[in-house]
Parts: sequence; structure tokens; C-alpha cells
Amino acid sequence: MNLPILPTLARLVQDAQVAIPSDPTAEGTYWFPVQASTLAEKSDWTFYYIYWISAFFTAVIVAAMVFMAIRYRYRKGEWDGADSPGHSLALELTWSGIPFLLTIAMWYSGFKTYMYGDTPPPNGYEIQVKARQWSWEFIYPNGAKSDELHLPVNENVTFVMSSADVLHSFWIPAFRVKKDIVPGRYTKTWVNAIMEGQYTMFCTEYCGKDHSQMNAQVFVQDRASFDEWVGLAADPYGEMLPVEIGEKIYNQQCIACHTTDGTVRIGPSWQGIWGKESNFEDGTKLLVDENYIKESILDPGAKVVAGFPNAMTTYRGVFNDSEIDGLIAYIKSLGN
Amino acid sequence: METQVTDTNESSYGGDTTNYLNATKGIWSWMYTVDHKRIGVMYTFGTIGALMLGGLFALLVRLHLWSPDGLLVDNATYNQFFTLHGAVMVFLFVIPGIPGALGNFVLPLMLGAKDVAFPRINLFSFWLWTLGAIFFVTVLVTGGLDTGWTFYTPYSIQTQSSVIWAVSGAFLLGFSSIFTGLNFIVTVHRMRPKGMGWFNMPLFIWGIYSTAVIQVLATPVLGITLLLLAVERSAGLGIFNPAFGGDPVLFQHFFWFYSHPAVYIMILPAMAIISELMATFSRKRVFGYTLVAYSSISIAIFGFLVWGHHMFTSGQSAWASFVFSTLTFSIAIPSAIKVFNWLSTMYKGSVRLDTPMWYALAFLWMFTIGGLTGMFLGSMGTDVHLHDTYFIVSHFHYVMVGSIMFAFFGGLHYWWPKMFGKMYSEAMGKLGAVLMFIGFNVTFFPQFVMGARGMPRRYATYLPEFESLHQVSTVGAFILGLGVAVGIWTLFSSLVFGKKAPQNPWGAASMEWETATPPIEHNFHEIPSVKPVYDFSTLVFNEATGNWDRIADASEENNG
Repeated sequence: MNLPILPTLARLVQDAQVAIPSDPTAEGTYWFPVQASTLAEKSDWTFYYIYWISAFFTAVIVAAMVFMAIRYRYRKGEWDGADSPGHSLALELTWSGIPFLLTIAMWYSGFKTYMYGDTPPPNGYEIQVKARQWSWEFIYPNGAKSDELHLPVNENVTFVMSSADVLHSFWIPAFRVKKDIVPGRYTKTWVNAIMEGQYTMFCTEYCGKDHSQMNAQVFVQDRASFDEWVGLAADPYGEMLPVEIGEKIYNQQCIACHTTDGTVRIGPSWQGIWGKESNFEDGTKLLVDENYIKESILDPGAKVVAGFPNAMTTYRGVFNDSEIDGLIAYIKSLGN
Repeated sequence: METQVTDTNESSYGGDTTNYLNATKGIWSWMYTVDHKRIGVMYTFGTIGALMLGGLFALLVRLHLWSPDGLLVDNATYNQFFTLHGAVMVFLFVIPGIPGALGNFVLPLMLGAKDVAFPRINLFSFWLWTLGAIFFVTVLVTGGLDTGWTFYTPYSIQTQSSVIWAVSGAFLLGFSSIFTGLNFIVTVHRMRPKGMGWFNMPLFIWGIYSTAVIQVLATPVLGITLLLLAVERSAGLGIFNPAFGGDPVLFQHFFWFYSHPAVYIMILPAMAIISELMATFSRKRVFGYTLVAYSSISIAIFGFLVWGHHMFTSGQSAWASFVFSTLTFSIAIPSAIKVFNWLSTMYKGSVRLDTPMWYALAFLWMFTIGGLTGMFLGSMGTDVHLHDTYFIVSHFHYVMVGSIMFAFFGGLHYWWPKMFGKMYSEAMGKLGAVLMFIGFNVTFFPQFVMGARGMPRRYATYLPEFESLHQVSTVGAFILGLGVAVGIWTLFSSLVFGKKAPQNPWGAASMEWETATPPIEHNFHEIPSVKPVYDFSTLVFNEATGNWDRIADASEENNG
């Protein structure tokens, strides 16, 4: 449901751009990493507001508890408790009313911050985020693809995110940005990064075996450096030979499940498989050749090697033909 | 005016020395019992067993996380550790524990009743619990479980682990919960003694009753959701699986529609215990009794309206998130009211710091922290950064362990003498409470900081910058484990080494303390008269016997 009131409210809460902190080597605080985005300062403000109120009330409650446990401790002999009050409407109203008023600001400030962080401004620089078990791929407007996220500093960047398989979630703590990535749809979020530097991005929705290793590096650069990087990234293989292309892809995308030294992981090792006969779960057999490799990449469930689970996500739409050629060349090079 | 000790012990069982424990013998007399007290005892031992199993997984998790690269096992095995820790604890310990163990034992006695409304359904509830436990043990020895206790799709559809055994077990446990709830609702409505109106009954009963309402209304939704997940896995129905046109976020809505009210199924019985402990150990009626009673019901009702606060980053609409955030803040107020009222109960009271009260005071402290950290999460903006991090893990452990587990141990230490007729060692009891308190806070307070700094949850390995906080947390976990072991040993060893318990060792005012210790099979020979609730004025400590005797005017007619 998309009520027109929400974009209106969102425009009301979009503040002017926050200036870059004066110290680019700034460290985080006790609670937080650096405030590396325009969102971070707002998010942290709401946190500290709630934090100090919470600390105050915790201290008051614990102190009252300790005080009364000592002051009113049991003493032998008669005690009838006659002059101790049983209820007080005035007190009930006070200790309900004051917390209620305090929580209004928590609620409102949280809403404001959320709307700011969840509403990508128009005309942001769009980066596609592809999440899969267990790696990230970022696709830039010029067609560049990388497992690194590069951002131009002080610009609005919109992320259009999709998953190839299960739920993932995109979290960059330094930016305070988080959004789930849901298979079957696109989700969006955005950031305006205000501090040059290198940050870590985590997957933060449990997605299976290597969920904890599904990190990506985030680089915030001045516009010129960013343009240079993204230009080079659009042509990532440059003059590389197919076998080198295949090895590069292997190290980025395949190494989590396949080894090249014979060790078995979730998928079979590639060592020495070229030209050999492979036995499949359904009892059939086939020689490992170019067609078999290509089918294994694009439709991995079609033939599952005996003894292995049908757990590989398809890479259809991820690799182009020259990348598949590269992988074939690399596997050939691993001996037969 | 002559004071007279009315020894209801005599009149209530006529000098008979058999009690519910030794009235009949043999394992079948327990397996087929319809006695709520025996069922309560079986739940006590069963749920403590589940606590130990879930606790073992917790120690494995924390030990593995000693090292940033994972100390013990591979990622896939770690994922099983955290999943099984959560599933065993939630479904076999926290949800069934207090209602099954203490609710069953205490409720009819507190009402002067012979049993619950439907004793055979009560037994059936326990059998379902046992069957559910067997299903979870089956999970352990077949494919294990690695989905997280939340079973989010599509991963739970895809994984090879024993999801269907696990959701079937949870389905059975759900029905155990539903039948218990049904039983308690009818018992409270129909079996109160004459003179015990709704506002003259102990707050423990208000708490158990409110819990029962949620059990009956919410649990069926979990049942259907898990059934749909099982069908999705086996038949590829396409409700939650986007590969077949389904919606993974729909699963989250269905799941949390139950699982949020479920956390109130967990906390309301704990709060029920705390009301009794605060009253008895301050020797005063709970301050603001009426409001505390109403707050129990309002928490039960409002608890149904806030589930989407688990989903602010899920892709649900901002409008939905706004509504859920607003309603979430409304629950803060009844919870705050309870804490302030419990505190005020001590004011001008006569506070006795026996072991149960140590647990109750620890509860107040840790529930304050657990509840306040909920504020950060109900506020949409801060939740975005904190969701799915160690901050959340710490928040819910402060409530589930620091509050609920502590209340459970407080209640066990309180009612244990009545249940088994033995007093445990006060020194050991207090040692257990102190170790648990220190261990718990050392384990979990650093986790708030870790989460805010950038440590995601459900991670088998982590960045080296979090190593020292993880190690502090791990040390705390072992201290907590030791504390739990001491607490359990305190109780169990009293069965062998404990002194005989008097009828009312704490000077409590509710009716269960007017029966024999342990109670006779039919609870009361003659039902005691109904007194004003939390009226401690007629109880006097007898130095010689260690009992709190009930004093009455000789001129008054009484049931003695």
C-alpha cells in the first residue's frame, strides 16, 4: 500500500546535507563506528536520547530497590504493616504519564530517521546489488561488475537489491544502513556517504553455511578516483587470457564450495575432472567436457554428481559467454 | 483477647501421613496420573532437562566463538548449535516451563480446588510435551537443524536438515500449550472458591490466566504456519517459496503473529511469580494490585498487535512499520507500571531476603534493562541499525534468561518446600543466584556494545576487532552455567539432604500454604476460609518450628 502521505512526510524530513566531519581519521565512539553517512548522525541521536533516559531510569530503579531492601528489612517482633499504603492513583498517573511523554519523542524521532533512511532521493546514482549464497556482486551503471562496493563521497547512491536464492540483508554499520534482500522481488535503500575510507559490509540475515563470511569491502572515494575505478572495473579482464579469467572468477565465486586440490567441500573438487566420466545421482554418466561444464554453471540441478547435494545456485545471468569460456579453460588446466 | 494457633495442617488432612508423592507407587502411577501436582512435578523435571540440553548448546556456541575463526567446529555445525539452542530453549523450556511446572502445581491449590478443570486433558498436555521432546531428540540424531529457531523461508525450504521433524515437534508442543491454556482459563473462571472474586485472587492467577488467553488464541497460528512450511518442503506448494510464486515475507508475518504473543506467554507467568515473591517477601499486598491485574490482561491483548516490529527491515511497507512501532510503544507502559508497583510493594514493608527474593530483585534489575532496550528496537530508526545484530540477541536474553529464567528459579525455590516437603540450603541457594546474576551480566552486557559496533548475529566467525568482547562473553557464559548448575543442585540435593519443611516457611498468605507439606492427594480435607488477598496480618513466625503460624482471635468463628 503506497499512501501519498508518506512521500510527502519523507520530503519534510529530508534535511540539508551534513558536512564532512573535520577529522577523516575519526574513530568510532564506545557504542558506534564512525558516522560515515548522513543517516548515521540522525540514527545515533535517537539512540543516545533513548540511552540516557534508560540509564537514568535503570539507576533510579536499582537504587530504590537496594535502598528499600535495606531500609525496610525484616526485623523480628511484631509488625502489622498498617500504615503502609496499598495504592495511589496520583503515583500511577505520574509514573505512567512521564514515561509516556518521554516515549513519544523516541517514537517520533525513530519514525523520522527511518523515513529519511528508507526513502531514496530521486536521481541517485544507482548500483545494483546481487546477493547470493555466499557472495556479493555490485553492478554499476556503466556495466562494471565487482565484488567490491565503491561509492563516490557526498553523493546520493541508491541500491536496487535482489537475491538469487534465499533471504540476505545488506548492512554497513558505519553508514547505519540496513535492508533485507528478498528473493522474488527488488528492495531498495540508499546512502549518502560523507567520509572517505574503507568500511565493511555484512550479510545480516542468516542465509546458511557461510553467512558469517559473506562480507564485502566498501570504498568511499572522491569523485575523480571513483570514476577512474569504475571505468577500469567495466573492463575487468583487460588483456587476461581465458584461463586467467577463469581463475579470477573461481577465486571470487566458486572457491566457497569447490576446491582445486582434491578436497571435497559442499561440491566436488575440480582437480583432474576434465575428460573423465562423471557419475550422477540419477545413475547416468557423462564425460566432463565443455557442454557439461556450461550446463553445470547455468543449470546445476540438471545433473548432480553422485554423493553430493543439489545445493548449487544457478549462475545464469551472472556470467557472460567469455566468462564461461574462461572457467572451462581453467578447469581444463587443472589436469586430467 | 486470646490468640489461638489454628493448625490447619491437622484439619486439612486429619493426621494422615500419605501425600501426593507416596500415595501411589510405580512408574505407571505417574505416567497415567491425573493429579495436577504430579503433572507439575513431571513438567518441572522435564523442563529442567530441556534447560540443561539447551544450555549445553549455549556453551558450545559461546566456546566456539572464543576465536574469530571459530574454535570448535565448521560453520555448518555451528549453525546447528545456535539453532538447536534456540529451538530447544524456546519450545521445550521457556514457553512450557512456568505454566507447566508451577502453574499446574500451584493454581488449584491457590484456589482451594481439588484439581484443574480437565485433569485428563492436563495429562494429555504433558504427553504431548514429552512427544514433542522426543521429536526434537529425533532431530538431533537425524539431520539436525540449521535454520535458526525462526525457520525463515526460503532457506528452511532449501536446507537438507530435519526441518519436518522439528516443525512437527513444535506443532505437538503447540497443542500441549493450547490445552494447558484452555484448562487454566476454565479452572480460573469456574473453580474459584466462594469469596474469591476476580479482584480478591492472588496476582499469580491473573498472570497465569492472561497467559492462557494468549496460549489458546495465538498458538493455532503457529501450528498452521509450521504445517504450511512442512507442506511447502514436501510438496512444493509455493506459498512461501518465490521460485513458485510464493512470498518469503508472508512466512515472517505468519511466524511473528504467533511468536510475538509467544514472548508474552513467556513473560506473563514470570511476572506472575514475581508478584507473589514481592508480596510475600515484603509481607505486604502488592502495591497497585488492581492496575497490576489490568496490566496483565492489557499486555496479553496488546501483544497481538505488534508483531511487525520484528520486520522493520524486511521490505514490509513503511506504513505498516509505523503502525507497529506506535503500538509497540503502548506496551511499554503496562510493563513499566508493573515494575514501579513491585518496587513500591517494598516501601514500608518488612523485607526478607531469602533466596526467592534474591531472584525476584535480580529480575527487577534485569527486566528493567531488557524492557528498556526494547525501546531502541521499537523505535524504527534505531532498529534499522540494531536489527539482526548482537544487540537484539542481548535484549531478548535479558528478558528470556535474566527475567524469565530467574523468575522460574525464584518460583522453584519458593514453592519447592511445598512441593517436596524439604528445605534446601539457603547458602547454596544464594550462591546459585549470585553466580547466575554475575555470569548472566558478564555474558550479555558486552553483547549490547558488540551489536551497536557492528557484530551481526548468527555468525560462526567474526572480525578480529570483536574478539575481546566475545571472550568476555564466553567467560560469563560458563559462570552462568555454573550458577545454573548450583541452582539445580541446590534444589535436587534437598530431596536427599534437606531438612523437613514446615507448612509455611515463608509466611505467605495464599491458600496453597494452608495445606499439608507436601499436599495430600486431594489437596484439602476441608477447604480453608477465603481471606482478603495478601493479608499477612494473621501470620506470626514461630521460632521453635520455623513455621509461620496463622493466628486468629479466639472469639472468631473459623474453619479450624
